[in-house]
Amino acid sequence: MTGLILKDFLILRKTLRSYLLILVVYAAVAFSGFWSGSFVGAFIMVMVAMLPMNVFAYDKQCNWDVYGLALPVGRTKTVAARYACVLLLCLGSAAFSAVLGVVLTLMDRMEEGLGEYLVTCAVVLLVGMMVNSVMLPLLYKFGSERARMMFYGVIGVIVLLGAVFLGPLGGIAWLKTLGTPTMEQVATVPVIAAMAGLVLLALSFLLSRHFYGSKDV
Amino acid sequence: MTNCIEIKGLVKEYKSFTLGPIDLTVPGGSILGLIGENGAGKSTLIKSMLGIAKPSGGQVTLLGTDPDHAKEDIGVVMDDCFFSEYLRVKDVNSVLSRVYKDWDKALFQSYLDKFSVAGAKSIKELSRGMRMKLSLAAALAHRPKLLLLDEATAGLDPVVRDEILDEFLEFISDDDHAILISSHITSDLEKVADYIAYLHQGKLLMCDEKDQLLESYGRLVCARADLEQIDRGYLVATRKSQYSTEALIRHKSEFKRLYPRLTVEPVTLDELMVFIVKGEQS
Repeated sequence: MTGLILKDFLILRKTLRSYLLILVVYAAVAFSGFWSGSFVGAFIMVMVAMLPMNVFAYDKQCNWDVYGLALPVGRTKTVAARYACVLLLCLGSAAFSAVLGVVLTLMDRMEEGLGEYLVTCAVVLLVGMMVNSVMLPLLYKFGSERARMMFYGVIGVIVLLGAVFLGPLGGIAWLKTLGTPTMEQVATVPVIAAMAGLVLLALSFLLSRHFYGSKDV
Repeated sequence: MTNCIEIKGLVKEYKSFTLGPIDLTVPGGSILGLIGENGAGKSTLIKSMLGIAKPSGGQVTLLGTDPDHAKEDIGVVMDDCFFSEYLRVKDVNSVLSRVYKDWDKALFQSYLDKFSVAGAKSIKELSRGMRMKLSLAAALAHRPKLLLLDEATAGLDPVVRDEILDEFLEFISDDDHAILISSHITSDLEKVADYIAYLHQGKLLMCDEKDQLLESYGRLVCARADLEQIDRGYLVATRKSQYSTEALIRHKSEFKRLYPRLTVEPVTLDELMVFIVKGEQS
C-alpha cells in the first residue's frame, strides 16, 4: 500500500513543486501585509483539494488502474492508499498553514491572533476533507472527467438547498444568536474539525470501496 | 509437471459481448500463445483471469491458487506502458519494491542495464520499445512464476522483439514457470509458443500444441473441380476467388496419402485465422 501512496506523490511531484513555489510567493505577500495569513491558508487548501482529481486523470492517461489491479494489493488497499494520500495532502497543507501562521505571528505580521488563525486553518482543513469526501466516491464511480461535472452539480445542489431552506430563515443570521464563544469552546474547534473530517473521509472511503469493488476496469 | 493456469467454464458477460465459456490449461514450462482477431476477447480473458474484470462465472486457478493469492508470483505486461509519464524509470523501482514482497531492486536494475533503459530518464522520454522493455523488467524483477502478456510485443521492431522473445524462452526453462501471451504477431508465437489457443468472437475455437496444430492442418491449393471431388470431412474452410481456390484441410498427412495429386502446403497461424474468420465454413 505504501508503494501506491508513494506512486501518487511521485506523480504529483512536479505539481507539488509548482504549488510550493506559488505558496512561497503568497507567503511573501502575506509577510508584506498585503494579504492576511488566513487567506493564504485557505488558498493552500483550495489548491490541495483539487490534487486528487489530477491523480485520477494521470492514472487514466496511462491506464494505471488495469495494472494496479494486477498488483498484489487488492481493491480495498488500493482505495485506502488513495485516501491516505489525500489525508496526507490535507494534513500537510494544514501544517504548512499553521507554520506560516506561527512565523507571521513571531514576526508580528499577523492581523488576527494566532489562535483565531489556527481555528481558521482547522476549519479550512475540514472543508478540504469535506470536498475530497464528496469528490473521491464520484471519481471512483464516474471517472475523472464525469466526476468533475458531477462534483459541480453536487455543490450546486447543496447551494440551492441552502438557499431554499435557509433563505426563508434569514440565511445564517441565526448564528449570531449563539453569542460569542468562550476561549475553551474556540480551542475545541480544531479537534472537532479534524475528527469530523476524519469521520467524513471514513464514510467516503466505504462508499468509494463499494464503487471500486464492483467496477470492471 | 503442474499446471500454472487452469480455467474452467470462465464466462464474462457484457451487454454486447460474451466471453466464453472458456476451458484452458497451461502446464508449467510452456508458453501458450493466444491468437484471435481484434475484439475476439483476448484482453478480456486476461483481465478476467486476474479479476481486473469480474468474471460472470467459472473458475480460474493460477499457480494452484485463486488469482488474488497468486498475484505475488505473476508478472503482467499489457500492450502499453502503465507507468505515468510523470514518473522516472528509477521511480518504478521505488514504487514496486514497496508493492511486491520479493521485489529485487538489483535484478530490476540488471534488466534495465540488459535492455539499455536509462534509469534517470523520465518515462516520457522513452520510446515505445523502451517502455515495453521497462514493463518487462518490472514484470520480471519480483521473480514471478507466471507471465501474462497482452500484446507485449506489439509495435516493436524485429530486433527488440527477438530480444524479448529470447527472454521468454529463458524464463520458461524453469518447469515451474509458464507464459500466456496474446499477440497479433503470429510469427512470434510460431517461434516461441508450445500451445496455441484461438479465440474467435469470445469462444475458444481451438487449443492445441502448436506443432500438432501446424502439422495437422494444411493449405490446399487446387482447381474448383478438384475441390468438388474431396471428402468434405477433410475441409475446414474454403476461399474461392476468380483466379484461385484454396482450402484449409485437417488431417493433412492422411489427406496427402488419399490425394497425392493435390498440392498441400504448410499453413501458418495467420492463414489459419484468416481461413476460419473469412473462409466459407465447410
